[in-house]
Amino acid sequence: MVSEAEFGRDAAAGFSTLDKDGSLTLRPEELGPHDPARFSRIDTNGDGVLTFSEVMANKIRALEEGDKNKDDGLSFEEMVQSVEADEGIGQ
Amino acid sequence: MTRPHEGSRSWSKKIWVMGIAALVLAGCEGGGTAPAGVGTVGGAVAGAGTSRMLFGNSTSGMLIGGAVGGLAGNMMLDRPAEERQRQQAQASRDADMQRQLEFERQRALQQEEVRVQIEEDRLFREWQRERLGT
Repeated sequence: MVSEAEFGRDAAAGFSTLDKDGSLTLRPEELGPHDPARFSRIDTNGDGVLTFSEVMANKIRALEEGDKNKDDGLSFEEMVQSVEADEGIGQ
Repeated sequence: MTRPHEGSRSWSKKIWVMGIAALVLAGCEGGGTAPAGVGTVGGAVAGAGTSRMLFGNSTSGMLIGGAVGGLAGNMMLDRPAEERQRQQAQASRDADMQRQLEFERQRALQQEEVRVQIEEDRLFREWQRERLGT
């Protein structure tokens, strides 16, 4: 099972790797190919860049939605279901 | 009628010719591996012998001949040796440059890894503080 803290640590690793200029924000160019609509949903203040707080707010929301048994973590099955729901697979 | 000392002069010439031939052969046997400078000295000695044949036992003639021989020796032996040394020095500089570039590349990679690690830790700790605070 992946705990919330592990989720956060994984996200921090991904964020800092993508943040090539060390600005503590992610510009669209730093993300590579991505869905602009999803970028806009995460960029809640609409300043055109993603902060780590914005990224984590989005990830925690996904974690809470995926944590069906409410044990404050995601099992492998819950992750698969979450990804399938996110991608619209099997719907 | 043979002049006095004519026979000894003839022998003297033969000895100089043999000496020059020996010097030339010595330069060839080196296979071009002689250090820079040897060619000039060898050429000067050979030149001195040549000048002695051309100008007789004149010191100025020997000096002039020596200078010409020196130039010839320089062209024949020193230049290839200098060129080889220049090429070796260039190869050494190229190798140094490659090592320096590789060192800089590795250092940049390490710096980037360290920067990412520090940023990751900082982001995670700040996020955890925010989570605990809310």
